[in-house]
Amino acid sequence: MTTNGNPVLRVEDLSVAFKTKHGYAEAVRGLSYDVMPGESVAIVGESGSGKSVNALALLGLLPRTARITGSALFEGEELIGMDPDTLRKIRGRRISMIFQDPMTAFNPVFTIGNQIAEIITIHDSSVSDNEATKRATDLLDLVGIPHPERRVHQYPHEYSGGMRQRAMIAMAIANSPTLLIADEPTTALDVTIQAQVMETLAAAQEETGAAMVLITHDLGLVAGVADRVQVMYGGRIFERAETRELFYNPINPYTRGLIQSIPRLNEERGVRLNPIPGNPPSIIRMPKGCAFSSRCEFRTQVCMDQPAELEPVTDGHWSRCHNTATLPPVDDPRLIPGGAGR
Amino acid sequence: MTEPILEVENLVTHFPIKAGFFRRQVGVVHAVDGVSLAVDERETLGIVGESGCGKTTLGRTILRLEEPTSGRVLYNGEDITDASNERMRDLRAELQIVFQDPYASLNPRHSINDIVAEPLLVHGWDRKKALDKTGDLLKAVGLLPEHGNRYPHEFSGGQRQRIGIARALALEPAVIILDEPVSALDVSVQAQVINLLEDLQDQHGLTYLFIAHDLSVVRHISDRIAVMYLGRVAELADRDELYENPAHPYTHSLLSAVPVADPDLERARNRIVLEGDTPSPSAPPSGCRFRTRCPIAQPLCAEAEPEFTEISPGHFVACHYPVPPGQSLVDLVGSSAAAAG
Amino acid sequence: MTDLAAPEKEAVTPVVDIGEVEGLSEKPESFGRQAWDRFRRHKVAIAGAVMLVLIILLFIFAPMFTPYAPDEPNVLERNQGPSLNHPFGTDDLGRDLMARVFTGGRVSLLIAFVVSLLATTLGTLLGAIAGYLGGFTDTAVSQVINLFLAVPLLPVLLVFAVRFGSNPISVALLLSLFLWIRAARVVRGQFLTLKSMEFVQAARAMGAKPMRIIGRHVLPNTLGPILVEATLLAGLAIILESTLSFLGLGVKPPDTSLGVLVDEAKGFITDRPTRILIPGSMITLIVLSINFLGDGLRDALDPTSRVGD
Repeated sequence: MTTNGNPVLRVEDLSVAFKTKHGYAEAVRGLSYDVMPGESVAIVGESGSGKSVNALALLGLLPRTARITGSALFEGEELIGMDPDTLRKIRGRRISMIFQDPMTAFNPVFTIGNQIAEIITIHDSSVSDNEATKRATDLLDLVGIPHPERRVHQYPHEYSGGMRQRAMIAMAIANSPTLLIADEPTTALDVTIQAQVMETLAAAQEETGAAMVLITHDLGLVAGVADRVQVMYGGRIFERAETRELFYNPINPYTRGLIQSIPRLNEERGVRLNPIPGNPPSIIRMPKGCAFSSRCEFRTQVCMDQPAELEPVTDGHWSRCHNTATLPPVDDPRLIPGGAGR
Repeated sequence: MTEPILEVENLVTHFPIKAGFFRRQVGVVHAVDGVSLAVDERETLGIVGESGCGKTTLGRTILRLEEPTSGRVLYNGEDITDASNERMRDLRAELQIVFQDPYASLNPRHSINDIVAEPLLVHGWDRKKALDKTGDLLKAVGLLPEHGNRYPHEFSGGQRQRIGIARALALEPAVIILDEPVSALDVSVQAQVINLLEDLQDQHGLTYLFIAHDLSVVRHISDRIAVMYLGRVAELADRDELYENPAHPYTHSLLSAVPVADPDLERARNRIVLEGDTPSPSAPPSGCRFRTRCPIAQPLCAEAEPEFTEISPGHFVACHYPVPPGQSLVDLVGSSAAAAG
Repeated sequence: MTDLAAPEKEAVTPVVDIGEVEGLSEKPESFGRQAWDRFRRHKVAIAGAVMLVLIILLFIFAPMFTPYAPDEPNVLERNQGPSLNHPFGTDDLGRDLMARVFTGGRVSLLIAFVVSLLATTLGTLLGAIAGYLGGFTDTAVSQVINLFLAVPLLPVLLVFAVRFGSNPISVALLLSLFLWIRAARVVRGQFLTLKSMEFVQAARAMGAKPMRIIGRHVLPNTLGPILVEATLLAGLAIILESTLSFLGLGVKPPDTSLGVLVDEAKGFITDRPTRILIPGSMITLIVLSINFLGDGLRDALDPTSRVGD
C-alpha cells in the first residue's frame, strides 16, 4: 500500500438525501474518506447502510431528485456538481464501476467485443476499430475468458453469469483507470464462480495499478482483498482501520456484533451464534442519537440523545462511539489472528 | 438404530423443455437425477450446492409441490409419492416448508393473523381458536401477538421470515424443509433467525432439511451434510467429517472457495479455483458429472458413473478417485501436474 | 409434538427487540387502504373519475329536465344552431340535439358497460383456467387468443356487424366476442406468474384446495390488473361502437348512440359544425376520462409502487 502522495479520491462531508412522502430521507450522512493510489478500500455494510448510494453519488448515477451535498475530489477535480458531459468523460476512463448485475451493464444487441471496443474508442478517437477489437480480445484473455478470439464476437446472452462479470471487469479496465469501484461484484454468483471473479479482479487491479473501492456485505471477501476497511451503518462510517486491525481488534460495538454474528466454516459443534438484536434502522426513521443505539448492548443515555463523532482511537483506527473508553476488551476467541481452522 | 423419519429413494425429477406451436418436448432438465437420503428424527440434514444443483427441486419434490418422475419418498415408512390427494392433505400437516424469499412468500394482501392462521383454517380449525393460536405462534418466533393485524410490507426481511416460520409451525409438523431460509437476510439478522430455528428445534423436537448455498451456515446448523452437484449427491457425511476430511474434489473446491472472515487465514489459503462454469442440467456430462471441471479427472471419469460408496462409517462419496483423508486437493493437483509434465 | 400454547413453553425464545415495528404508525395499513391513498393522490385519475361521474349523472337525470323528447320532430325548428331553447341546437328533422346526445350517450355508455362486464368476465374465466391449469388447456386457450390477435379487428367486426348488428345489445355482444381476449391475456399472464410465487406454493404446501388457492391467493392479487383492463375495455368499446355506428353498421335508427349522432351529422359539417362537434367531443371526453381513471387504477393497484420506498 502506498500512503505517500495525494489521495486519488477524497470524499468530504458527503450527504445524499432522497425525497419521500415523509420528507427527505438521508441515505448517506456526512461521509468523509480518502482512497490512496493503488490501495484497496472496502466499504462494508448491511442493506440501508448507504454503501452503494455513496458510490452512485460520486459517479453522478443517482436520479436527479436526490439531493447531494459535500465534496468528492477525484485527482483534484470536484465530482459533485460537475457538469454531466465532463463527468461522463471521467466515467469509464479514469474511474470505472463494476456492478452486481452484469446483465444490465451490457447492451443485449451488441457483441461483448463491440462494447469493450466502444469504450476504448469513445475515450481515445485515435484508436482504429480494428485495434480496439484486438485490444478487447486481449482484455478478455486477461480476465480469463477461454477462446477470447471467438468469444469477443459473442453477445451478452451467450456468456454465463460468471463470464459476464469477468467481461465487465475487462470493460472496466479497458482504459487503465486510476480508480475501480466494485459494488457487490460477486453477490449474484455461486461461490466457486465468485472465487474466479475475485481472482480476476485482483489480477486486473494489479495489471492497471488502480485503486479500488470494494463495496460489499461479505466480511470474508474483505478479509481477502482489502488494505483498509470502513464499516458503514445508517449512512455513516462507524469504524475505519487497516484490515487486520479491524478484524482482530474491532473497537466499535457494531463491528464487533457483525463479526460475532457470522457462522464460521471452522467452528466447533454446538457453538451458539451471537446475533445483534433488532433490525438495521430505516433511513426514513433514524434514531435521534447514535444510529446503532437501539441495538447496542453498551448504550448509555448519551447514545440515545446525540449522535457520536468518528474519532481516532489509535493511529489509523477510527471509531464512532460515545463509550470507546469504557468498552470491555474483546474476549471472543474467534478474533485471534490466524483463527483455529484449516 | 431407529427408523429414519424421512427417506428418499432414488428420487428423480425431470422437467420437460417444450417449444414450438404444438409445445412439443424438445429436451429434459435433469433437476434431480437419482437422489437417495435418509433423515433421522430430530436431526438436521444440510443440503448444500450451487445454483442448478437441484437442491430446491429436491425439497419441493419431497413435499410433492413438484411431482417426482420416479423414485420414492417415505415418511415414517409410508410411501407418500403415490398417496391420494386426501391422504396427502393430512400428511402436509406433518411436513412443512419455509421459503427463501421473505417478500414473495407472504401474500401482500393478507394480515399477519390471516397468514399464520391459514394452515389451521385449511385443516378445519374454527376461526376463533385459530386466531388464539396465532398469537402464541407469533410469540414463539419472537414477535408480539399485537403484530397480527398488520400487513407483511410493514415488516423487515428478518421479521417476515419469522412470520413464515410461525406459519410453518402452525400445524405442529414433525419435519420442516428450510429452503434457503436466511439467504436473503442481512448478516446481523441472519444469526437471529438461525438461533431461532435451533431453539424451535429443541423445543418441538423438529427434524430439519436445511437447504442452502452458504457452507458456513450449513455447517453451523447441520448434523450431517449432503453436497449436491447437477442433480446428484456428490458427498454425504457428518458435518465435522465433511469439513475435516472431504473426499470429493467438488467438496474440496467448494470449501476452498468460501471466503473466511479472518484476514491471516484467508490470505494464507491455497485456494483451488475451479475452471469454467457448471454445465447445464439439461445436458449433464457423461460419466461423473463433475469431471468437466475436476482438476484431477482421469479417462475413467468420462466413461463410468461413480458409485455412491461408503468410504468410512457414515461417509459416502460418489467419486472414482476420492481424496484420501488428511490430504489437500491442492497437493494432488500439484503432483498430477508434475506427473503430466 | 409439544403444544405451542402450553404455558411452560411460553417465552422460551426471548422476544427480541422488534425494531422498526415499534416506530410504525398507529393504524395498520391494509393493501386496499394504501391503494386508495395512492389513487387519491393521482390528480389526473381523480379528474377522470369526477368527470365520468358527472357525465353519467347528466345522462341519467338530464332528460328529466329537457322538455323535448329525443325523437320528437319539429319542422319549424330544423337545423338550428345552439340557442336558449335548444342549447345544442336541432337536427335536420328539428329534433332537440341535447335530448338526443343524452339519450345516445346513455346507449353508448350502456354498450361500454356491457362489453366491459362481459368481455372481462369471459376473459378472466378463460385466462384463469388456462393460466392455472397449464398444459393442454393452456395451449388450447393460448392458440385461440393468438388466432383472435391475428385477425384484423375492424374489417372482421364490419363483416359481423352487417349480419348481426343493429340494436345496442347485439352490438355489445359482438364487441364482447372480440374483446375478451384482451382480458384473457392479462389474466393468464398474472395467473402464470402468481402460480409460481412462494406464497401460493406455501398454500399448496399446507394442503389448501385449488379453489381456496385461487379464491384467496391468486384472484385477489389479479384484481388490480383485471379492473384496469375492464376500464380500458370500456373506453375501447365506446370508440368501436362509434366507429361501427358511424359506418352505419352498428346501432341503427330509430335507436341512437353517440356514433349514430356523428353519422347523422356528417352531411352538415360545413353548415352546422356544432352538430358533429358536440357528440364528437362527448365521445372524446368520455374515453379520455375512462383512460385517465384506468391510468390511476393501474398505478394505485400496482403492489410494487410502495409508499415511501
